[in-house]
Amino acid sequence: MSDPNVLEVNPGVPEVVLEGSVLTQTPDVGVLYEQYRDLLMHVACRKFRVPEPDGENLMQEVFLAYMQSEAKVENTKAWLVAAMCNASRHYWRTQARTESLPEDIHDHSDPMTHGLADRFAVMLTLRQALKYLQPRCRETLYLHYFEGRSAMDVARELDTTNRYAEKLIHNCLKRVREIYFSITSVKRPS
Amino acid sequence: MIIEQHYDEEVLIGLLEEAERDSHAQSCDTCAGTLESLRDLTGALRDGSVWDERPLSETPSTKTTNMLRAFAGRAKAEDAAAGLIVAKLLSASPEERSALLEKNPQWRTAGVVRRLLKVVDDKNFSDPKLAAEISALAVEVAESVEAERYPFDTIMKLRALAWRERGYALMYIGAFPESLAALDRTDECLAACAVSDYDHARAGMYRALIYRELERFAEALSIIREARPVFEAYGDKKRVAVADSTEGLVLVAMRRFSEALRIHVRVAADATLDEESRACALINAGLCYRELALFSEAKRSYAQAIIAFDRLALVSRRATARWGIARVLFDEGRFEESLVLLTQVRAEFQELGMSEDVATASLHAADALLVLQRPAQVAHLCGSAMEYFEKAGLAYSQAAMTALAYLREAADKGTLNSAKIDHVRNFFKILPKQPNLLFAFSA
Repeated sequence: MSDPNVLEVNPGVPEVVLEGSVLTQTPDVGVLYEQYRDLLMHVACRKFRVPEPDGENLMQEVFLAYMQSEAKVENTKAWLVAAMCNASRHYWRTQARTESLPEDIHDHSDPMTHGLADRFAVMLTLRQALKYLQPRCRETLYLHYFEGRSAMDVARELDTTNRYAEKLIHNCLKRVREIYFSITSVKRPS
Repeated sequence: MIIEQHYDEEVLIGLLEEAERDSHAQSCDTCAGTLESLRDLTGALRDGSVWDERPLSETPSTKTTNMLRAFAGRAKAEDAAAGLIVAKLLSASPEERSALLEKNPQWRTAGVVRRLLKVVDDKNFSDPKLAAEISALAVEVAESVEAERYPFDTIMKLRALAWRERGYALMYIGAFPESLAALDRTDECLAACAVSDYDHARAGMYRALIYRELERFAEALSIIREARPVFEAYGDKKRVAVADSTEGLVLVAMRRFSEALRIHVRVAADATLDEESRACALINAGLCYRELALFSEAKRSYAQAIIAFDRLALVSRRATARWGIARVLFDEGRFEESLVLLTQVRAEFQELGMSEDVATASLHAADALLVLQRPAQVAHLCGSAMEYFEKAGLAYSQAAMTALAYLREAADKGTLNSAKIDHVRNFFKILPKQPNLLFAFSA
């Protein structure tokens, strides 16, 4: 250190080993589990393709780790989602010893992104919103956004004109956004 | 179509791919906000999980709920019982403690480990040697807890926690190799756990601090830069700021002040952080400004920190910021003003019982007196600091008094120079961590 005036913002300073412990803070871990279960199962089973029964086991590991966290958790949702990503990756690492990994595992392991929990919550709600769409609209969005097809390609697939396909893409996106907001205005994704 | 000078949704959808070419979409907050929300949505539509039609059970598992509640209940009961056990352990001598644990195997619980670590945390700064001693006991208990009584990961994480805190306590007393060994053991324990990246990152931050002390700067920076996104993913803003500040401190140690300054200024401006963290960053920014000879900016930064610490009633932090201003005044060649401020700050530290800072501020005052060619006052200053250490009765009082006596003698003989002051200053930096250190007289 070149100067005693430097204030060490030391990682050891703010730790309060027991007072801040989730063990002593969580009102009821059962309630918390019920609150976040859908989101965490979505992350494990849909994002990381972990089989459902194993997803439930990972959930237990995540909540046990959460309860053991001796420092105060600032953002419960973000903490749990990041922990579930970590547990899912660990799951596949262990599985890789006995069987081959899914081919697209790398597309499913990007937890180091800012706002990850919120993004997963958006996806979970969007899944719900898509269920309320007309099948043609769903197909349009699937072709254009998921498969990355151009409006011309979509037109060919749906047997319509380019101009109408473009209009369809716009309208379906507007519609799904409308439904998305109607879901979140009643019950915000947790 | 334009409505009330904002683009409607239709236009914004059309602009999704090329919004950067449109000046209004770039500058209008409302339109930019809608565009961002549309991007979030289209981004999510590109993700396979949204289209995955496999049904997932939406019913919470009663087994999981019951297991988690049972674990929480048991942990609370263990913590409650641990209070008395730890009190008994702490009242015994170090030799008796192992015998007590041997005699009472039922005391080896996770609750006892947690309670012992609480004591370590409390003592790390007031009695670092004791903290290191208790951390060894916590490790002993953690390693001998009956593993079958707990889920596998929980026991490994408990051991990792005990080793990590032992690592920190050892680092604080300057036992770096032992501390690194403890952190290695932390990583070993975590390697087998399903959820470990957050704890791994936290242990990494301690390791980075040690590497900084050992001047292994590149490794320190690499660890910090790996840990930061983990804290970010876990929504732990405070630790993100700690990672940033630690990176700044490593850069300061490398004398890369411009880069360090950028980091400290960013932390200081982060409105989502608590005021104390931001004010600490202002002090660190002040130091960088001073090193870069940007004296006005340095004083402004310290002054802002003083206002914040005043508001927070953090007297010692406030004194540290004032100390920073005194150092700037010294570098500006305003020795008399610097001396006045240093004398006040020194008195504040004395009142607060911050002996390490009393010593260092005294040495800075000695620097000023030396430049002002008042060696007799240096002798007087050393004499009064010696009186302070004698009264304080600290573990290292005797060594501190020897070092100060050396300076006083040099001042009396007229042989005092800045090298001798630096020699004593370096000694005081290590002394509180190694109270048994002997002062080596320089030629």
